[in-house]
Amino acid sequence: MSTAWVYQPNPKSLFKGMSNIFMALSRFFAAGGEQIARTLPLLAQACEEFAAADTAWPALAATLSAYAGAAETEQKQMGFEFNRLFVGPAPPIAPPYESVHLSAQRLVMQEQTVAVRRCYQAADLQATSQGAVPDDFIATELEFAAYLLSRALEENSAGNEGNSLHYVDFCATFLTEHPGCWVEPFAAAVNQNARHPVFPAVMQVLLTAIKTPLTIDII
Amino acid sequence: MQSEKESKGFSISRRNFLKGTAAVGTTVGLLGVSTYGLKWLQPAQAQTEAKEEPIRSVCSPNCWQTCNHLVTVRDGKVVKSAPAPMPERTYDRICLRGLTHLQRVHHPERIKYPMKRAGERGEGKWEKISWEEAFNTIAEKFSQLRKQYGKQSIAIVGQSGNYGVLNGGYAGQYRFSGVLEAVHATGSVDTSLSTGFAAPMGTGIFDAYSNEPLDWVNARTIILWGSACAETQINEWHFIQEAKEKGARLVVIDPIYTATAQKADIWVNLRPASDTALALGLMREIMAQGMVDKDFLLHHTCAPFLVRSDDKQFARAEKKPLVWDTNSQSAKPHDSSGIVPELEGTHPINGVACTTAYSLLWDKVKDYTPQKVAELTEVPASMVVEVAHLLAANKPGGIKFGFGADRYHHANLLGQAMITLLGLTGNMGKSGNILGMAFYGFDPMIYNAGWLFPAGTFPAVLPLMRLQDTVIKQDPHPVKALYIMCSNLLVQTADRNKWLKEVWPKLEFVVAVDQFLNNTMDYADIILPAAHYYETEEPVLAGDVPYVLYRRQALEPLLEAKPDWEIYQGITTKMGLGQYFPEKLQASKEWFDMPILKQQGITFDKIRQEQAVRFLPNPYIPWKDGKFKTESGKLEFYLEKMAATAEELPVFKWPLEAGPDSKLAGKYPFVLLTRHEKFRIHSQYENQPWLRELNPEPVADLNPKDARAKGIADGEMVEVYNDRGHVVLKCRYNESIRPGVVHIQQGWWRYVAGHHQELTHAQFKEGIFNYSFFDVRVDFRKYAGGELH
Repeated sequence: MSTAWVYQPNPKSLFKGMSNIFMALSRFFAAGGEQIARTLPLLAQACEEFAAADTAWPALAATLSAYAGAAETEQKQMGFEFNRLFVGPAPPIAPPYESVHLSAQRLVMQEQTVAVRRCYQAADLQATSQGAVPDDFIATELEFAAYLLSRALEENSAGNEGNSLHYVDFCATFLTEHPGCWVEPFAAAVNQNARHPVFPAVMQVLLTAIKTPLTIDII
Repeated sequence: MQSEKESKGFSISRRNFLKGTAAVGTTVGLLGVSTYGLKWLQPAQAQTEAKEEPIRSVCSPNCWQTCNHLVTVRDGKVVKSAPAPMPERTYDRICLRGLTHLQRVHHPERIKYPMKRAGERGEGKWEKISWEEAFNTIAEKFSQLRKQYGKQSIAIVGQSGNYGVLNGGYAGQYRFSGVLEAVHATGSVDTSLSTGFAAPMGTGIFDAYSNEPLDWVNARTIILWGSACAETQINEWHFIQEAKEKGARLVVIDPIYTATAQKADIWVNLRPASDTALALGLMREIMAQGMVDKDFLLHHTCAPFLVRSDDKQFARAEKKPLVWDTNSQSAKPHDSSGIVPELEGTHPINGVACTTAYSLLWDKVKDYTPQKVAELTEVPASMVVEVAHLLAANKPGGIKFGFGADRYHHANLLGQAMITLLGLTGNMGKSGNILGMAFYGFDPMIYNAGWLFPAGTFPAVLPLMRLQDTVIKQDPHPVKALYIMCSNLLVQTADRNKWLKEVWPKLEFVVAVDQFLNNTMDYADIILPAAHYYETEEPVLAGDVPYVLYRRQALEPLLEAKPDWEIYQGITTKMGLGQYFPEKLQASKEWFDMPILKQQGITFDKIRQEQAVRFLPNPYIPWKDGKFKTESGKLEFYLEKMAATAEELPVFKWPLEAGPDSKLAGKYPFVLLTRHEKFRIHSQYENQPWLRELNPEPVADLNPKDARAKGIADGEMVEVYNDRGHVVLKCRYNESIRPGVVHIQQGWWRYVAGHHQELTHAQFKEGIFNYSFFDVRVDFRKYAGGELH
């Protein structure tokens, strides 16, 4: 079945803003709790910059900015909590891998991991540490979304509208079929167990970003 | 409002986007990843279609089955583990635990990065660090401690987590501690029974002294003594079942009605810790009824050796033990030609009364009548007689011991009694014999001890159970740091509260290496993620199969996990000692530089290609010539060296706590047994999902009569306790547990409160450094919450 759809208003702003937010989220999850003093301000900044173009983001940006300016001791506590939630060494509350949430046995490196790898391959990409780091690591999935939107923006700016739309559609479909399938239970686990309020705030950014429509269906 | 351009609609099938994007073509390769800020993604590399060729690996925890697996990997995922074909296909095996490696290798709870403690020990606050920082931190701390306190300020702690040569607890780890000249704290488990068993043969305690399992099918009588073989060693159980199908009689000696006992022809349900009394009773019956193998005793054992009454040593001439020659009516060296040795009797030699070892043995066992044994062991007298007659008359046969009976003080005397029984009945050196345990990895002929110490420096080897007091007293070594690997130390050793309350505070630095955050790693300062069996390539020590084994790598280590060998390389390189840890293939090749392999033309290339290569005759039946490795060449069940403690011959002594004579029996009327079951190898596999489906939580197995007497219902929470500590867990009514016993499966990492290893003690018998895990008295009560103890 075919679907006809159109750009959202201000597509360049949308693609740029969302790409930056996805990339900042990716860095937040990838760099780990020890780097939260560096990655949280970047995430707040990405939200702030996009806030100018979209009214959905100002409140989120403000919340994050408040935590980004926390004292060093609190940043440390955020780091410990980050590891408790996402890394370990104790069983993490919210493992940041798609297949852990969606596979029958709740393991890493399952069929969801391979499906994500196929998406990367379709864009002539592969995970940098393929085979060691699961392809469906949240940071990699978010980086991929950021990349696709960067490409959409680039093609749009060059006047290659068809190409641009392919990337937009690719990104929207990827977000729907992959992060969109698991970040809700992932975020719910964080929200129910987090011992620092910054993490529910980041989850709100994550869910908002994943759910932000990139196009408008007209049929 | 949308622009004209922007408002243009496009009809694209969303399901075709992959094809569409491929048509667009990407330029990331040309522009470079920096253009898009990519870090976790890169331009796709040319990839050949991965073949799903099964890779041969080895599962090598301490069930010592060393099952060879064929591991099929598809797209980085292990999709199948199956038995690999062995040179003798009858050895093809995999067990339930082995099948769960599909889950274990991809388990989301694996430790993924090196981490350092950020809060108090045990507080659970951790920071991720790089391997570089980990190596630097460890090397700097080790160097500082070595300089300040000496090289033995560092203790490398190992147990039995892996039989891999490079990455396991038995070879590479020794090399690491030898190069560092550190304390090497290991062992103290499974060593008492085997010490008594091996000494009369003159072998090491885990040498290749038994017939190989494929020959066990020729046995007529099989005694499994303290062995839950049907659950714990299914590779060997297969041969026992086959023997049984061919008509063998199976006797299982165990105080618990295990799955193994349920398959027995005779289940000997004995009182815990009374095993040696039973063994003496069996000997007494066989000797009293004249059922001994006299020819074997006279020519292949010390039975006719004359023992001096003054110093309890063999009477000797020209260093050779003397026997009484009935032809010449004089004492002659035991190996003189033309003599007919006397089995029983006393004769004066140079004015000293000398008695044959056989007569002295009779003196030790003669009082252990079936009736007396029945009183001591609670085994019916008729059953004692029946088992004795089976072993002596329904030959060939043998005894396979597990280590259930090893877990008591004085278990060495039981081992000595077992080997003496087998000597009395002549059940040795013949097809169909089982001699204690089949184990082929540690025998000097195939264990390359020279490989362990490339620097010409050595570790200070310390029995693990002496480590607690060594740290507390800083004597005989000033241990300030532990490097723990292949060991869940706080779960698999005794007296846990002593570790945490007295030992840990004395330690400046604790490094622990493992795949999961077990209960030991909770209390470490640095934790390092270890690779899984399937993620490594290396030689593997033979367990109960007579092959040299080699494991190939099936997939990349998950995230930042590393094989132990690479961790040694990283640490020692920072300490200027990296030259002793060469590239893994070179190190593997050097390991196989052994005469027994060269003589057979078995090269490293052949081993790496075939991965399982027989190095022993087929079938392997040791002692065929009746010559043992003692000085006399005979089975010396009379141990001269033990005369000083009156244990030159097997005698029965109740252990420290478990016997009815214990002064603790009134206060703590129950004996605690913590046996192996099929769900774990020690504490490995504890968190594996499939196994947890079958074995979801710790339980205290109690005989319903005992539980009801305390008003405890099935499923209620109980506190099991003694003066040392407590553990809280669910009560399970279990008719297979005899009254007076509390059973808890070993290997659980954590409980509602306390831990079963709080209940155990670390008292040892001098010279026999072995944990007596079952020699423990406890009581139990209903748990109402809180810290009751």
